Amino acid sequence: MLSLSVMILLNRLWHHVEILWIFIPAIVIFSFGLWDDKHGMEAPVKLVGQLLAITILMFFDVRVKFLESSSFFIQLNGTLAYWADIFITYLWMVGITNAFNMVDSMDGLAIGLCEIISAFFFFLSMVSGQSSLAYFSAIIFGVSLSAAFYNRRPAKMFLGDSGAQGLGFMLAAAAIIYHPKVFSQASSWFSPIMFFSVPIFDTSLVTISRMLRGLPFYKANLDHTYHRLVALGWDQNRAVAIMQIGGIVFGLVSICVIYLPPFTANMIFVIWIIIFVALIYLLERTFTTFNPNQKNS
Amino acid sequence: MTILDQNYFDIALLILCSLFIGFIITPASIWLAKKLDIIDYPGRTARHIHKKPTPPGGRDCDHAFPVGNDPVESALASC
Repeated sequence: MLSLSVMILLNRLWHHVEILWIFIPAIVIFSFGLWDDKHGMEAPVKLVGQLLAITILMFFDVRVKFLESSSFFIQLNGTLAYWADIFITYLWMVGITNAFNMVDSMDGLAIGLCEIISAFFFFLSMVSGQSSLAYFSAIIFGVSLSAAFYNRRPAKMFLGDSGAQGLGFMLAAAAIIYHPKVFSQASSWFSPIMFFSVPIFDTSLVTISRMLRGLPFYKANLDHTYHRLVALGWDQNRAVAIMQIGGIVFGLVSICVIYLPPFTANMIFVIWIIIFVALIYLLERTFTTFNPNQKNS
Repeated sequence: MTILDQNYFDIALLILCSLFIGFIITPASIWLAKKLDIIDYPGRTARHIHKKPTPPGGRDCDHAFPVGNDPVESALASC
């Protein structure tokens, strides 16, 4: 976050208002995260900080608008579409911010995913001609590349709540700002979702798994995707690498998909969901086999 | 026209500059985190698996990570 601030100041990127719109609420997230890193913080207080930051973001008119768009394949009436978009914005931002925080438990994983996602945003924003987003993703990519050097195993530092939530928040906001004007919105609306495949998958997996085992989903535990892969006998580096490769593959698929007609593109998204559900089922089944004591504990 | 047509050199420079700044600022933030005691001690949360106290900015003293009988914990504690 410090490096990002220096880069924005050095390159006078405050002229690109979209960068400021994302960066100002990200500072709120960072501050709450820093307090959490230093003193610890209850989950509801963290959520209040996140909601505050998202409200500031929406004050700058950075919010999901696809249900209000005339080119989208679902058409709702004006007021309903507006409030549904507001709800989706909160859900998306809170979800991705926390998902990034959750994957920051293994050396090199969260920062590696951050590199991959920012690289995809960088590529797409260059194609669609969104210079602000391209500059912003370029900075995040460069900074995460250097942070990855210090976060490689054994880590000299890790992102912490401040870094992970801050980066997750900024990337989630970048996904909202991304407007592929040259592509049909009906084919491209889910491509940012697919960029975040790994954090979304991991969060879905632990949430469903903990609910099935009667555990609170927000309590930290050793039941994340990489913990399960390690329990299956995988080397830690291999587990991190396979998750990052997964992120690259799904990102590449989402880039290819935006060139397809809406029906085919949306069918691929449905297949993506089916793959996710199948993987959650498989990992949950093997996990409860390996850790019978975790079940209903 | 995309920005790639206009100023790809600037973009490449921006990435290199970010990389360089990150390499300089990160050790500074590690130092600052140690000074401010923003360090994650082992066992503070079950999710973090560092064997030694590792802050969002540095490595510090030598507390051992409490390793139980859990196969996941044992495998991860070797990091």
